[in-house]
Amino acid sequence: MVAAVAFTLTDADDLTGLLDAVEAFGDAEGLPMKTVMTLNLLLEELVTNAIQYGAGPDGAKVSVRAELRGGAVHAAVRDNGSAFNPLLHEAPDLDASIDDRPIGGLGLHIVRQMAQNPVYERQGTENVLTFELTIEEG
Amino acid sequence: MSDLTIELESAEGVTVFVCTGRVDSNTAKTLQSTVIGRIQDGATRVVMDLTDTHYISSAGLRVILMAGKQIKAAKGEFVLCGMQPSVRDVFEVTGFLRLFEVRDSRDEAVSSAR
Repeated sequence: MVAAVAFTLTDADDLTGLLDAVEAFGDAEGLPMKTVMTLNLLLEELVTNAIQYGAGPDGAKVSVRAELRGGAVHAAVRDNGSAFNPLLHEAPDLDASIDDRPIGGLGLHIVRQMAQNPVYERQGTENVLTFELTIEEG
Repeated sequence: MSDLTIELESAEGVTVFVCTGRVDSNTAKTLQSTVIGRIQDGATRVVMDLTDTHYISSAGLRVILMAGKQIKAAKGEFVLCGMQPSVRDVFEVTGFLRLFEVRDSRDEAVSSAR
């Protein structure tokens, strides 16, 4: 049995369980802390965005899967919200002064910057976002 | 590991928040009530020590930006220190390294915020 993360969330409070599961996966696979932290970060941003803004009529349901294959982590986040491509979200102005920087709006920017080979697809009634992370020492 | 604890220390008129654990969208609420609460109570010289913080998401950045804006409006000083590589990466990609003063050690940060 290969270690993997398979986790379903319906509420923002479930996030702690997901982050703990990802850390346990990292321990089982001997992944460097930096890779585990980046994986958690990308999953948290995608999951909280889906729960906050994308809940379907019967509430949010977000499934997360992550596994190690060929020296990289392959992850997928699937939600039942209305069609939304997080990769097309407007980028913040990083050169703005602190007075002009709005509070919020950074989560999906982080995803676009840090996820490798991110792909968005609408599959039936679900949004599916897949990405990879190569193992990074540090 | 999953919890965030925030200890408050005072040094030379500077309020130091020592954060240990994970700053995620759940624990950021604790960070917000503690840090923003203190700023609203009059703390304007503030250091945030992140030596034992290995994880921060956009929810934590949100609180740090709020704190930075309020301290700037109060003409105070806000300095971060002890940033781990995983946390520094998040500050880098969001442009936050340019918005905030970052020092290696707490002593340097306290001197700078004084």
